[in-house]
Amino acid sequence: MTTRSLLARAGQAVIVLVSVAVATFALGRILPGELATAVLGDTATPEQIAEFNRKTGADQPAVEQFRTWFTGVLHGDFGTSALTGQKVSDALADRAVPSLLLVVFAEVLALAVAVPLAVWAAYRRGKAPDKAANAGSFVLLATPQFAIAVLLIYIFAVQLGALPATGYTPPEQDPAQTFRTLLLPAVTLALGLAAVYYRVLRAGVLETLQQDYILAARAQGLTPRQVLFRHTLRPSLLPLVTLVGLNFGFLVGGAVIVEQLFAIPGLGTYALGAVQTKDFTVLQGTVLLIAAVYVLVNLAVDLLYGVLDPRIRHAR
Amino acid sequence: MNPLGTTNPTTGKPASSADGHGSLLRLRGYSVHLHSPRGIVAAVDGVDVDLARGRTLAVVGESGSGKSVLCRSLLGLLPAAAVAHRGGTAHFDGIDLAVTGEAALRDIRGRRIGMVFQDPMTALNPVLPVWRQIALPLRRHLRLDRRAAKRAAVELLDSVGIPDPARRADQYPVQMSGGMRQRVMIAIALGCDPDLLIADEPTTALDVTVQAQILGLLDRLRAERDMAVILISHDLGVVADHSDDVMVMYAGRQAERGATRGVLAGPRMPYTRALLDAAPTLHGERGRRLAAIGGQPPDLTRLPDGCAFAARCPRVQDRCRTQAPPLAPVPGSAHDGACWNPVPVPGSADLPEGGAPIPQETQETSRA
Repeated sequence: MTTRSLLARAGQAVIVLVSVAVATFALGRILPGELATAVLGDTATPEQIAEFNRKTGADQPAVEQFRTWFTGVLHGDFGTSALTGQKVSDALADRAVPSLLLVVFAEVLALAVAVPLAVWAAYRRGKAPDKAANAGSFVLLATPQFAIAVLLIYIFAVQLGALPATGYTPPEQDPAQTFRTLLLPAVTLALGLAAVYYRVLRAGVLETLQQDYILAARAQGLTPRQVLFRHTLRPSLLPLVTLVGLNFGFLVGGAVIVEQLFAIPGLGTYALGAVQTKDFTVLQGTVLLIAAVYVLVNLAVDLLYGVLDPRIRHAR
Repeated sequence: MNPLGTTNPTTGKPASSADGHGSLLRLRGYSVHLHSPRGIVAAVDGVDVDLARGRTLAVVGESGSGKSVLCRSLLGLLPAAAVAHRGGTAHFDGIDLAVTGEAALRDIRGRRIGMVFQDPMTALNPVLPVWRQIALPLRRHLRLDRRAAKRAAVELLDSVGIPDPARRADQYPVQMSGGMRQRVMIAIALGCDPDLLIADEPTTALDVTVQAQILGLLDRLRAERDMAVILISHDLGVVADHSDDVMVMYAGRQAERGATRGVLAGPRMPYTRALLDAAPTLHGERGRRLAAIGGQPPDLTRLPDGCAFAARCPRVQDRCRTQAPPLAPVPGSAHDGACWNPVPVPGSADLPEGGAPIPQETQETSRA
């Protein structure tokens, strides 16, 4: 990818992030219900509400409020939650770590299972392993996430007692325990992801196997392993890479069910709490952070496209 | 010259094979029947081939005549599920290909038999630099390590006439012209110094000027390496200039077979005659209309009892519709044909082998 198109991409990313900032800010003003009554309760007097609004800046014009907030954001200050008094940037920093660890862990597990399985199944198309993997992926797709989670907790935490059922230990305290606490939630996410990745990659590999250059590779006497992993895999990866990127962005803020079930203090739970309590400062900060992750991951995906496929890199 | 020099410990080529008098590839009654949605198709039906080292056999025919199926079947490249039946015998350097398992065939493919495909745009992997595509068979068959394989790849690119090979080696197919890509394909096919090269319409997808270069390159490499070459083509101009023997196929069967000069100078099977009449010649008379072959190629699932060409043949007789003609020496010529009513020899004189006048003047200078 040329420097120019990279700069263009970065410019687009900035535009996206500013738009998200404006939109989430506007959302907070559009939604019914005031923060003051949410914090102070229904019995608050008009004087108390006016005092609250003056302290939090809610009495200022919306444009002025946005300017103050956004200037802070640019300096790394996402404001302070009026409900808890906690600085949003501190909370986000705390919450982003388990979320990111969980998603990276889940993606790695999912790919480690789905990639070899998809290549093998496509190569043995219509044979027993292919049929078994297809059926397995359907079962996983059809099973709700919470059911998988409960099943895993029952087997590995309750029956075997091998892993903690819930909770999260920060890596700075005990990295081994972090791994143990994240294993079951990561597997829960990974099973669903793996089922989708398997299907997408299998379809891609099947298509690639029809290409002339695969026949040519076979005519060169290459082993099935060389044909599959040297010639077939890379051209088949593009749809999968896109999907992995999209899921990554989604799960950083969207793994709410898993975070709730396993009591992991992640971004999804944080955002959900903020919506329920109308804590807009928190919501704005969380949404902006998640959007930033989305944008960065997709930028990385675009770069990876060029690495995987020289036709994109060398296109005029 | 073999760019790999002494590093190539070939599989010990015997000087002559056990059967077939010095012929490297020997087919007898070779048949391939394929499953198709509309029934079983005799894609290749009773083909005989004798091909010696250093010789080029051209296989000619329309699309669907069985040329490509023949070659892919020999190499075991047809999907196993597609093959309904194989008949006859196929020996390569004394090895019975019919009883050779997939693993052993893999050792022959790419190492002893190289293959060049029709369209270098699609037969090269778009996401691998070309040196890696050349290097993979070298690493597999010759057990070269990564560095040696890359060095060999650059030498191979040099030997097929690619300028600045060290720089080109790191490029991707998308950065190369069609002719250059076909040179890369040839470099891949020749990497392990094969005994036999199968070129499946190697120039059909290329510009005319590039065609001549590629065919010249194949001729040079064949002579240098004492390789046997099967040249699949539907271009009789290419066949005339670049082959020793020719086999004309129609509907999976051999229609006419013999020394290229003799067959093209005095075709006896009406189908060959029609092919020649349909081909434009550089020195042909201006304004001459090219004669199209009337009718359609036959439905291979429902071949007639008689000659497969009977429905389109201008010389058809009653017998042609009921009884398929066997391939036999044609009276009055030095080659074989499968025809009940062959085209008369011009002047009705018996032509000695290779003594016939050549239809195209270019032929005289093209080959030693």
